[in-house]
Amino acid sequence: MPATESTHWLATGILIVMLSLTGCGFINTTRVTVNDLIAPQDVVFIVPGKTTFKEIVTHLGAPNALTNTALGAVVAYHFRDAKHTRINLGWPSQFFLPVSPDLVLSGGGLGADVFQVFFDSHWVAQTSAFAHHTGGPSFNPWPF
Amino acid sequence: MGMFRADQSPRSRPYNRWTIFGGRLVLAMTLLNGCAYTRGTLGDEVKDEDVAAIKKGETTRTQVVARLGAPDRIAQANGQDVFQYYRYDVKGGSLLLILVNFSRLNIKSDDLYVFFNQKGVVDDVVFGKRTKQLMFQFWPFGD
Repeated sequence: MPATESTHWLATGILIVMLSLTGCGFINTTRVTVNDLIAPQDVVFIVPGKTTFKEIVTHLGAPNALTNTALGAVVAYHFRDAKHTRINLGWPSQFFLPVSPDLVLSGGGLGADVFQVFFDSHWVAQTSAFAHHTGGPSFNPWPF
Repeated sequence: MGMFRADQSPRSRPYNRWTIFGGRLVLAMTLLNGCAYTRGTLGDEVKDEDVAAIKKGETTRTQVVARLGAPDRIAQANGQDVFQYYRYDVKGGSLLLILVNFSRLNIKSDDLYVFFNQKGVVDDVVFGKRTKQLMFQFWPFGD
């Protein structure tokens, strides 16, 4: 299965889990994390044209996906951080009204990050990069 | 604040202590609505002894499949066939209070890659077991 397909599968699964974890209180906060964060300082040891696949596995562990290109193999490390907050402003009304209407504000985000390393035919790293995203998720229930 | 004066009689101290303890207990019971633990896995566990049994330059593709089963993915990279076995482990915790609910779900994966040479013999084995560090957590904030 290509790396992009597995990424979509994982992202869909996380969203389903987040929604199913949402409870029925006044305020709900949910967080889902997948694997450990890889920061830019964690990969400074990778020197293009020098660092081998073995050395990268020793530092970062086994990758989550491996694909082949015309120029060589590409390995990918996936890590995710999803945050979701839900406030039901109608929840307190159950204490003084016969019915409690729901007035729900909710928001969240899925911080999907991928770190990829491109190798030549001898398993020597040629380049590496993080996927570019607009920023990490936050606990902010304001949807507007 | 006379209740906590230093010159209060010894008989009244235990009463006050128990009152405070009881008050805290009632408060906790009122606020703590429940908690939940969730666990889920995807794929079979890759055992260390199975990985150790795979010998570079000796074990064949047939023997790997016989021991570990069919791979979850088969890839080709740099002229080598690569078998990938993976497993996902999920641990979730929910702290359900009256007003606020906290939930956190942690997911980690184990990945095993077996590289074969042109003759179908194992050339390399890469195994990462992240699920060993997987924890149940409630608190969603911070790291």
